[in-house]
Amino acid sequence: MAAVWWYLQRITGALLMVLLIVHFWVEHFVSENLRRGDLTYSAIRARISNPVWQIIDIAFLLIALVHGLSGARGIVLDYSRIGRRGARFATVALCLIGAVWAWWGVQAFKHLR
Amino acid sequence: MKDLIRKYTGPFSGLLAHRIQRVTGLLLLVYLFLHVRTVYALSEGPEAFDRAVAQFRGPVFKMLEIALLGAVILHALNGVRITLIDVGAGQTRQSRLFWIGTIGLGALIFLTGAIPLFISSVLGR
Repeated sequence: MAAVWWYLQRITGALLMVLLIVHFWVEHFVSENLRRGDLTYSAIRARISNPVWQIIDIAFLLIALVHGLSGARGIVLDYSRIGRRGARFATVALCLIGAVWAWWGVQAFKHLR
Repeated sequence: MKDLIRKYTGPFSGLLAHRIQRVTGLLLLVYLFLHVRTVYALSEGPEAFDRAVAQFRGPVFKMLEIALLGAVILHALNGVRITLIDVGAGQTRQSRLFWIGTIGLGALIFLTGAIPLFISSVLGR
């Protein structure tokens, strides 16, 4: 099981590098307003109305959460002596946090569609 | 086996890189939390969102933004280094990979982004 987490961390890490560059590009460089740092509701709405961007943004959030919380899990397991049951509890707890966090993030889209 | 032992006991044990990866990783997770919190304001309409974003225009937040850029670059380049070593590339050149690949290249990319950002948003020119 541990190998799955290890492997996922590399895959999600590689995906995040690509997605982060895309994210950075579309939020800061594609128009004159954005280059000035004028990130407004209307600019985001224009982009998010495209369902492809919705899929990309939600996937970005989910992949970041898997990578970040899986990394946090590694830190918790390394620095605590909680045994196997404790480790399983930590994993379940972090999965729940991830689910709530993901739901919270996706709420941002509800009026933009 | 000898290579494996040297990997953990050599002149560069990777401990510094390991710690950098963990500290920046946790900081980025905290940032993701704050970021989702801001983006959530989108669901409360245009005024709420534009107000939420406006609070990040001051020089203090711009400095934090520059620090964020540094954390992202360190974490990403160090991650590339870890993955390269995992697939078997550069196992005997880990030290050079860290100092040139992560720190050297990272500083170059960081300064390319940080200097214009500092001049335009902190100094306001």
